[in-house]
Amino acid sequence: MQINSSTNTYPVTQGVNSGQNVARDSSRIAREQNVEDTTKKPAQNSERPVERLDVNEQALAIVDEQRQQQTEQEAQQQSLVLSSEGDTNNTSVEQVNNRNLTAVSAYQGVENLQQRSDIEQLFGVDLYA
Amino acid sequence: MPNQETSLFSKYHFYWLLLAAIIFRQIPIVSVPFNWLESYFHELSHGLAAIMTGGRIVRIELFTNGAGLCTTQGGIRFFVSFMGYFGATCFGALIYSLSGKRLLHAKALCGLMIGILAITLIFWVSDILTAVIILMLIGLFALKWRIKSGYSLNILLKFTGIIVLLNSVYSPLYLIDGRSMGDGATLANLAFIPEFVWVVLWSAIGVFSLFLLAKRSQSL
Repeated sequence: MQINSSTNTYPVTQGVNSGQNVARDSSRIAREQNVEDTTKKPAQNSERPVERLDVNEQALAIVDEQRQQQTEQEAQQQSLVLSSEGDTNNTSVEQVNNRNLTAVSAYQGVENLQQRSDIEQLFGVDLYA
Repeated sequence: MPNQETSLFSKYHFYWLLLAAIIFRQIPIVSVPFNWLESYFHELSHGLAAIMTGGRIVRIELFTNGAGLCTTQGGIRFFVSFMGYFGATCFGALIYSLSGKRLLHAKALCGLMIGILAITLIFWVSDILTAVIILMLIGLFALKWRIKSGYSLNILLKFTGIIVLLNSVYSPLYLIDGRSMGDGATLANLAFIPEFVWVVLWSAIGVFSLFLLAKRSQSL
């Protein structure tokens, strides 16, 4: 019996756009390697070619750079919101609250619509508001 | 002079009552029972339409904010959906038209309304909030019942009819909220005619009813 490893066909550099993807892939590779080690017989271990985990340093550097940029952008956005709130004397806060209320009511509307159709289907009745 | 003043009020009593109803609707707490009344007639109309088309009413619910819910089983969905706002308009016009000048007629109308509300309470209400609201509406008509003057009772009932009519003109407009919910959306799905058209139709029927009553009141 031969168990094929997927690590060879799944390069680490594939998820270079996201740091999280790279981390997830690396841990997955490690996990799969562990599973493989425990499931393979000792006799087969000697026949198995040695697996290599190539870490692309350039890709990691790009990921780090992207993370740093993202953090900087978030910090800038936060500072902008805070300054505009200060300028308009809580007007922006009220606007945000109103927007939140609209969002919540829209969400509840959809939820009620779903509940309504659920009840109609479940009990075979029609609801009229 | 007093006779002239009385005749001026009598001649244009519909418009005075309409003006009073428009102002009354703006008062927050006291106008609430009349919102319940319009909502009740709306839900009852759905239910009656279901019965007329072979279905049945499962339950009627009313809420403090003036909303309502009628659960039916069977019946023609298109007709039942349409009848909500249309029925409320009919009830409003009926209350106005049947509020006869004689005390006996006006009391008979109060008794009819109390009877309909009582039947609803017994057969189709199964929650405490709706029961309380219906009892308050019964109380509203019971208070009118106690009025000894036929003229005053007539004016009060006409006022009630106009308020119900006004609410039935305004309430379809709340459907224009972009959420595609309610009777207009149901009809739009069933008939492939946009919700907006139904809203305009219901409101127009309400306005037309007011116009007919105004015309009739001047000819009397």
